[in-house]
Amino acid sequence: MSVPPTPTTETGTVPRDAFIPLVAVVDFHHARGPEVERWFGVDEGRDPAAEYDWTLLPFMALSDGAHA
Amino acid sequence: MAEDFSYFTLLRPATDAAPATSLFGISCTRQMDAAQLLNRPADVTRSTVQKAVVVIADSPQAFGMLRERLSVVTQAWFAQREFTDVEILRRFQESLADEKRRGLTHEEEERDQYLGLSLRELVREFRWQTLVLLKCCLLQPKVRGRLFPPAPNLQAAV
Repeated sequence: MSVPPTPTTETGTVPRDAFIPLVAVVDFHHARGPEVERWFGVDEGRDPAAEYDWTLLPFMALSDGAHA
Repeated sequence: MAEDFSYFTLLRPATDAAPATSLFGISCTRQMDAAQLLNRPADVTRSTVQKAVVVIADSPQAFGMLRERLSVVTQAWFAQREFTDVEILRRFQESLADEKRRGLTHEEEERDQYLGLSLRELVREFRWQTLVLLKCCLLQPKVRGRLFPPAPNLQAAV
């Protein structure tokens, strides 16, 4: 292929403002309703939802429907 | 409902180093009969357990491929019937992070571009407005520059 690869920085490090993808589990808790259960890719004890004020995240992540 | 996907955006607040930007979320929701759990936690009081696995990224560009991977990962996690075993989710995030650090080549980006995008569905959903969307895509750099300076990912979102 003639397409050149996307230039990356010398050492393969990401640019300063690059965002490393996060994974989360949102649970429909039977007493408390939708809530973020845990994060992957963040340091222990940190909660991006609280730090960035993502209060709607659990509701946007769980699809609507009957919660039996 | 076997699985259900949701797409949403989140605001990444400004820092000293960078202005506020959009982040893009995709989630895969599944549910299962609580009776099938190997160990049923005390707080599972209803007959069904419902959970979503979420990926948050700074660009929606690879979401076609990501959706397929998220589907497989979520399905495998549910198949364990034991939600405390999150090894598969941890490794999923690690591989996403690793790919981000290494950076995708152009070739990989282009290969992914049309996965999950059905032209037929696009036209059926948007009818004549499909042309407006196409035009928006073509005009993107101008529209972005004049109207929406803080949304660098708009084109990819369309």
